[in-house]
Amino acid sequence: MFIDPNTPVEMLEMRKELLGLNDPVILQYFKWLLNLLQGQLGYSFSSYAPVTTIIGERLGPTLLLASASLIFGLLIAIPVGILSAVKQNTKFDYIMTGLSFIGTSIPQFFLGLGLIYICAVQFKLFPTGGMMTLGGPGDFWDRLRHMVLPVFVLGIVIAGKKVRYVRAGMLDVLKMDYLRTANSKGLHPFHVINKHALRNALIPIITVVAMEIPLLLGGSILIEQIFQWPGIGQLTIQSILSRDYPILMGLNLVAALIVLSTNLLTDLLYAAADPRIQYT
Amino acid sequence: MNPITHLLEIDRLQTVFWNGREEVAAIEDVSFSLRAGETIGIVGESGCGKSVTSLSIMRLLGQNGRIRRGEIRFNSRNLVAESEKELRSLRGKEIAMIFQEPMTSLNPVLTIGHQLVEMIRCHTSLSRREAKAYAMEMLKKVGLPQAKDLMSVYPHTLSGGMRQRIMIAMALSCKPRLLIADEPTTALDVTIQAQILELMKSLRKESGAAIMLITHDLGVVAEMADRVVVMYAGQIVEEADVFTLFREPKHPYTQGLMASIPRVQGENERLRAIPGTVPSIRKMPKGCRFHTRCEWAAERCRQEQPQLESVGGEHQVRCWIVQEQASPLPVSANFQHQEAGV
Ligand SMILES: Nc1ncnc2c1ncn2[C@@H]1O[C@H](COP(=O)(O)OP(=O)(O)OP(=O)(O)O)[C@@H](O)[C@H]1O
Ligand SMILES: [Mg+2]
Repeated sequence: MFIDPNTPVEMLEMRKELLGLNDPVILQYFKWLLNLLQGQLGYSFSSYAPVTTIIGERLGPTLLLASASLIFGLLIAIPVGILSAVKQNTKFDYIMTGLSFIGTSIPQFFLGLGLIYICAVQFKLFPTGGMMTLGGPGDFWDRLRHMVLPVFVLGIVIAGKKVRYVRAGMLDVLKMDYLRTANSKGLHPFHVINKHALRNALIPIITVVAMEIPLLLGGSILIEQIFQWPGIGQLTIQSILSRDYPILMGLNLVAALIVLSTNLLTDLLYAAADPRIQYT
Repeated sequence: MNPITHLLEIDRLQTVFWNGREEVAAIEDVSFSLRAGETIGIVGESGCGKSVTSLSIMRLLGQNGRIRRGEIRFNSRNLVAESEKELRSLRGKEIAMIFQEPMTSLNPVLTIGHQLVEMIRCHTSLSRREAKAYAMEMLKKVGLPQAKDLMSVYPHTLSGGMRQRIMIAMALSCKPRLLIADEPTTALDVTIQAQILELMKSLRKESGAAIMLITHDLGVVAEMADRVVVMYAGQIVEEADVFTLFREPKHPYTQGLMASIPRVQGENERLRAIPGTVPSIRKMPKGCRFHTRCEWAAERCRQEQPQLESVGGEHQVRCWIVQEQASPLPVSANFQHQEAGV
């Protein structure tokens, strides 16, 4: 908290007492837990609004950005990975492996700023940031235009990382006996790849993708800052800078919940994708 | 030797694999033929090229394998020259295959029903429902009466024997004229082995399909085959009908194989294994490929490679010693071979 040095000491003390800041940390934590049980996360130090409301407002945009980026990334990674594996050691494979290497190693802030400079500043194709035009219509197309650049930046990195997993998974599956069986049945290669190989290749990829989700939220801190995206990431930076502990506690809780629920989701997806796995 | 009566003719086939630096031949100069409805056994030690021969017929050699020389005529069509699309319409429909490992040959994430129906629908114009009914009929035919339940089951819940039955049902579902069985019973225990062989026999009678039975079990060959091809290090070393082969095996390698079969009446006679190991396909010995392990090997065997020559009728042997000892060949057989360029 930043405090005006002219504030009288008594007032400060009163304020501290009121906020419970004089209690031992353990006690403060238990109070926080107790409130949590009642669905209360306290109030922001800076805006005095309830933490749940503030985080709630920011959660939507972040989830939108993260899921759009994940989908965009996978839409690139899966077909490219499959083709790379099927055409192993061809020119296509080499080029794609090279591009995926670049995609993974390029720093996000650099790519983000570069794209803003080229696409938004120079060519004015897309807005430089924000979620919609202020005072504009705020309709679907407007929002979409605002999403293009941040989704691209986050998605390209995901694609770069996942292409290699998809390719490796596919190469493993392509060696399997049941693929030889599928080919010996006279099925069309498209069917063999998409029906017989892909489903098996995707099973190990589920984990890798699920592990990406927390990373994606971490990555969005930077991207939201660069693109002025009103999400959790931006809120995190703001709260750290203003030492808004109730908000930070709330954000940590949300992060923990997201990690736990992705783990649960992974297990459920596993069972759905692989009939050999059953939870009883 | 009338070509019309042959369903499959393989002529001096050479299949090579690219190992990253060079192409090495996995099989070389492989020629044999198969009449409609006939069962041919292909025997030989592990790595001698049995599977490569069968995969060459299906042209399923993968990315780094290719047929470098020779012809495979199926129904007088040269499969080596056919387009991939043409071949696809033959696979499963005219030539079907069952594999050694029933545990891994079925796709773990697709139901049995799906795997049967997709094949049937690929080669026939049956509707989904008709194909399903037909698939269940096939399952019953291979001795799986609980067909209806099996359709929605995933492979991992089934035993090896059941899976192999399903593979057989699948392979026979489009009434192929040639069934290639690559060690169909090797991975199964003895009682199941006997059941599967029994099943194959009865289905053979019913469907009239020719069978190419790959195995390293001479007992299975004796049980099933009309004719036998013995392979060693990528080449055929002896070919004969099954009675001739068991009565008078000529090639020292075949004799060695025979001697290594455990016999019940064999008193206390010790099981004889062939000494030495198969040469690697990258370092084939000069001369006869078997001379390093052959007790009869003479100078000529070390220098010159023998050809597969008839030693009477359809009995052919690739061995200098046998060929030199053999009584002069009947003129007609000799003449035929020279004409064929063997
Ligand atoms: N895809 C491949 N790439 C490279 N070499 C191969 C390939 N497939 C087979 N070979 C080689 O071809 C040779 C013959 O193999 P093949 O599988 O035909 O033996 P096999 O007689 O079927 O043996 P087994 O009884 O063990 O099944 C082996 O030396 C093997 O290394
Ligand atoms: Mg084999």
